[in-house]
Amino acid sequence: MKRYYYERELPNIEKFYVPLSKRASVRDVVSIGFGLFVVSYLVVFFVISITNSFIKDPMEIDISRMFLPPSLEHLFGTDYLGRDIFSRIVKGTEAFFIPGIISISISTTFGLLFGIVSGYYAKYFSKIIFYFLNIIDSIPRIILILLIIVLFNPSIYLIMAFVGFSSIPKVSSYIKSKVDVLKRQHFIEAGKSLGLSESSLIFKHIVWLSSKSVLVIQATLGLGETVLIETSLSYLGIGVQEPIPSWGNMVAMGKDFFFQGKIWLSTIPALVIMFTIMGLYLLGDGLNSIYNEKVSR
Amino acid sequence: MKKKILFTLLCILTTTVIGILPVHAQDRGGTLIYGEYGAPIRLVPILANDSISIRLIELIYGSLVYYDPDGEIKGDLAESWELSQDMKSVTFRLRSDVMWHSMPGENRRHAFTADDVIKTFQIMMNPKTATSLQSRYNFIHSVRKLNTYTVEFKLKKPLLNVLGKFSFKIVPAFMLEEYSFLQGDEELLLYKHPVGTGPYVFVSQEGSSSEVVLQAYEDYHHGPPNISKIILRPFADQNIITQTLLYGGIDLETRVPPRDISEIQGDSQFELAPYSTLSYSFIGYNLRNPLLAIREVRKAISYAINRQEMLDSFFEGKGQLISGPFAPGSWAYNLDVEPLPYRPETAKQLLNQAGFTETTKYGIRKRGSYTLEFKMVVPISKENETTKRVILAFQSYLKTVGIQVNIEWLEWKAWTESVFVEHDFDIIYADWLFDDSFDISSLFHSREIGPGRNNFGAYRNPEVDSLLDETRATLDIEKKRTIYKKLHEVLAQDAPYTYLWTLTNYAAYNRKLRRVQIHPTRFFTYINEWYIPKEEQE
Amino acid sequence: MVRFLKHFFKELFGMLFLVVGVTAILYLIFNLMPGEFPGKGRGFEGYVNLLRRLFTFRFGTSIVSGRDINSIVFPAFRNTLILTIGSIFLSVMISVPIGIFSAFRGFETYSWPLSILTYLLSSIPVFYLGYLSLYLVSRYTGYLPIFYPHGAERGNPVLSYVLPILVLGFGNESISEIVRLISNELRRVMNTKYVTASKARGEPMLRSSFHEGLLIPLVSIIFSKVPFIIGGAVIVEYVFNWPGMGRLAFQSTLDRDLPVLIVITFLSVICVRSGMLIKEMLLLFIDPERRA
Repeated sequence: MKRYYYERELPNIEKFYVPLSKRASVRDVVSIGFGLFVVSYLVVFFVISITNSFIKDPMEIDISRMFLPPSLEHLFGTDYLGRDIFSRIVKGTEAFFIPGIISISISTTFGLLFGIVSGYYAKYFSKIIFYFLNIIDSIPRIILILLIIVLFNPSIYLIMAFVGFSSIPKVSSYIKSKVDVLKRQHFIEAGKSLGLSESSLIFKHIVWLSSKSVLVIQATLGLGETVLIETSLSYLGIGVQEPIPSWGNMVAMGKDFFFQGKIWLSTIPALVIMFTIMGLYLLGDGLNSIYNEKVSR
Repeated sequence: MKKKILFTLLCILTTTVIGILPVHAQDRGGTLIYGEYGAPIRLVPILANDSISIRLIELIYGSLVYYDPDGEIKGDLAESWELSQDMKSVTFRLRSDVMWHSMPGENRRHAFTADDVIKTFQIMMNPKTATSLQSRYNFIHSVRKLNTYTVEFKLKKPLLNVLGKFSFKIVPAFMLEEYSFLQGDEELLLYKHPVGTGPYVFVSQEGSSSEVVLQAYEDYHHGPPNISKIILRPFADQNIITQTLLYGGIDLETRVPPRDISEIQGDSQFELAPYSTLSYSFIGYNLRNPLLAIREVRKAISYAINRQEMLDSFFEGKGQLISGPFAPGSWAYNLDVEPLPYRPETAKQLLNQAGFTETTKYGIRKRGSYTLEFKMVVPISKENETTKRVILAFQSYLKTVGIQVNIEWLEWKAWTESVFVEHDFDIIYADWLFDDSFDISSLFHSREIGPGRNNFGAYRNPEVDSLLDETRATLDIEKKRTIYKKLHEVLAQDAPYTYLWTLTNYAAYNRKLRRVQIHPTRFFTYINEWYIPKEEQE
Repeated sequence: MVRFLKHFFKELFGMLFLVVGVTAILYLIFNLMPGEFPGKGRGFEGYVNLLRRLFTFRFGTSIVSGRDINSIVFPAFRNTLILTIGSIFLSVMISVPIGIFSAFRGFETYSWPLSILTYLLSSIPVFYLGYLSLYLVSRYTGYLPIFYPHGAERGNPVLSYVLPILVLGFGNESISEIVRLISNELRRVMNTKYVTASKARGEPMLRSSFHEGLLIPLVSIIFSKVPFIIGGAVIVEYVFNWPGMGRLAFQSTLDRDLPVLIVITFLSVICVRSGMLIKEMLLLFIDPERRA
């Protein structure tokens, strides 16, 4: 039974040298393709909404034309104030795009930093870092967000920054385990004996090898999480407020008309959310199976 | 022939007797579950000032007198009363057969006496108590106990219809012995387990947004109520309430949102009961802002919004536009004053007249360095779709005439502070709820300007001040009416508010509830009469 | 056995240490920020007092509503537990068979649509799913599945328990994650030498790969889902009016009720850490070779 323990350590190294094309499967290609499609429409929407071009005014109210069903003029229909739903959906990407980037950047940079430092350097150091990270980790994320809201009354950007913080423990423990494995490898020893400086060892070899996969995967999953969190918060009423559109607050306002038969007000944003999250997760998943690591925890 | 006449007479007699017989004993029992949007905040009178709490308290607590459906004063805890010759003192003789509900864990019960009335009054009027009731009752000079069952109130000066004012709820003195004022954060048993003299006894409430269970009080001094159990179900989601009613999960919905009205109307199992509270909605202005102090600006805003369209689209037209600071159902309302029509062109003209002829690059009017940009604060105590729609539509209408409104959503407490204490706002959207007197002096009199007072906009008009003082002084109802009509005119002209509308409230209930009569503000005042026939009691 | 116990106590101590750390940080931050709570501003002594009250579960009264916190929080906690345990159970029941299926069948045509379907269902935002299910169930069964604490003869108590659990089970993303994890792990294990050897010997594949491929990842992931489940319940409780801890936390946030929030955080941290503790112990039990 001892054998498989040894096997568990090695496979990571072996697979680094297998070319990409051999490892990818149809499923992975489709997942990644779909995910890329999602990312591209997100970017397109974001650009359109910040430049205010090509679409109708998402805030334009026209009470005489409320609740119109989808048509050529209003692709997704109009809402309870006569506003065009499609342009509101496009505008809604603004609500999570930049906060999402903030969140991902924080979690990856700090996660990487802490992971490498604690993985490469002394045990004592890593214990302390991990103690604090575990504290953050122990609090369920929504509770953390609620606490932050009570304390700081923050904007959505600050909230996402904190969400980013809360993802650090995961990323850094992951990096740390990779670094742990890597630093024992023979090529590191070889490098040391060749006289390579410590810093170049770290940066070029360890960091690059361990972080490549995790960065991209964490970015996609992180963005997916951000969408979910931002829409959930806006739905509950503590995220983005009216009249600024967010997919979450559109679902929330739409639900008031659900039982009257006007279900598209709520359903369309929900479908968009679903599509987007699914695409992002599939992208992360596809990339992940290419690099053949374990997904999240 | 004689026999026939006798027989018919007998029939008539029997049917009349049956008709006026009290509800047959077999129709006692059953459970009434009613739903509210939100949860009761306080379970004690004096401190409670939101409608949900007030409705619940109506079931548990009693008062000296109350109004019956025909508008007559009836005694609840008071057996009889007497107004002195000079109209400056009122003496109440209390019933001697009233027992307080039992305290949890105790077997014996306390009797209701004059001490309870005195204690209630003391706490209520203590300036440190967290309520605004002091201003409503400060016409009372003092109260004293004449004997165990008699109290005498001395008034500062004679007042019209003074008896009806003694409808405040009485709290048990024996549970409040060490307290002379209440702030709401004391560790009082009464806060969690209310004890009163009303038709229903509090049984339990698991948590602050859990269901409240009430049991019929067998020893209620007006006779035990017919319905054995009442449960209040708080809902976090407004839509679900109507659905739950339709599916039989609850029996009564106290306020039906306008969009659900047609759904209920179509269902013969349910009855829609309109009840008008004396309330109206308005847009309020902070006249401390020099731009809003200009009358033309305020009037322009009133002309710029299409109130009829909003009323029809958001409230299904179930309401009425108003032209002045009174509810149209009241005798103070001046029907000769017309509500302002929707005239955006007039609005633009007025703004031009006021000098706001230039515009910024975003299309907002300005005059020199002053831009027509205002801060509107809105409370988000609950997600309310009609409030959102009104505010957003308001913002949009004003944009078309060149006024920018920035909306700030504040949590309820923060909002009250912002508006009434710090005066840190320009515009608000709110409504006032009136009791039977239409004393609007607290809203528009210049002496009511200041932190915590109702003239939040700092409106100052000497003519209005003197008219308001006159109404307080006079006892002649005809004279009062004339003065109110004049007030209506002036306040419509001056427009310290933009008067929007008054809404008809609808309650909906399952037809298995019989003899349902609803009090316009307190709702459950006549609960003793309601009953559920045995077959429908499940 | 001794090693087991030793490890247990070490972990327990670590957990308590962590909980104390959480409370310390919270106390520090709360003191700096506006908002009243018992023990504010009284420095170290206040902190010790707070700790004592928390650990003895005497939580005091809430400032906002004047109610006794214990009587609010514990019933809510119990209600949330019902939801979360039920939904984890459901997620596992659904995702494990799918994971096994897709691992065994590889990338063939019919396992793939199934996984896609599970992805789809997992990605529907839980707040919409809740409302939609309410709508569908009420229109098609004539019952409105809202939770009725009292007067439960109305409506359908079974439905009102089952539906929120169903919605949370699907809406907490665990299904897609578990499916992915199980299928990956299982596939990996199936390719190892010892399993191929067993297969050659005629042993059923599932039995030999069960231990490492199924049990271990399952245990890890279930217990690591605890934080999400506590948090994820907030929205479901909101939609179904379920009187649980999530809804309580949300309400306390709106009311700015710090004492209740502190208590809820404390309880959730204890839950999360105990979950991890149990996970570690279970894993040690199942896999004695494991390096702790």
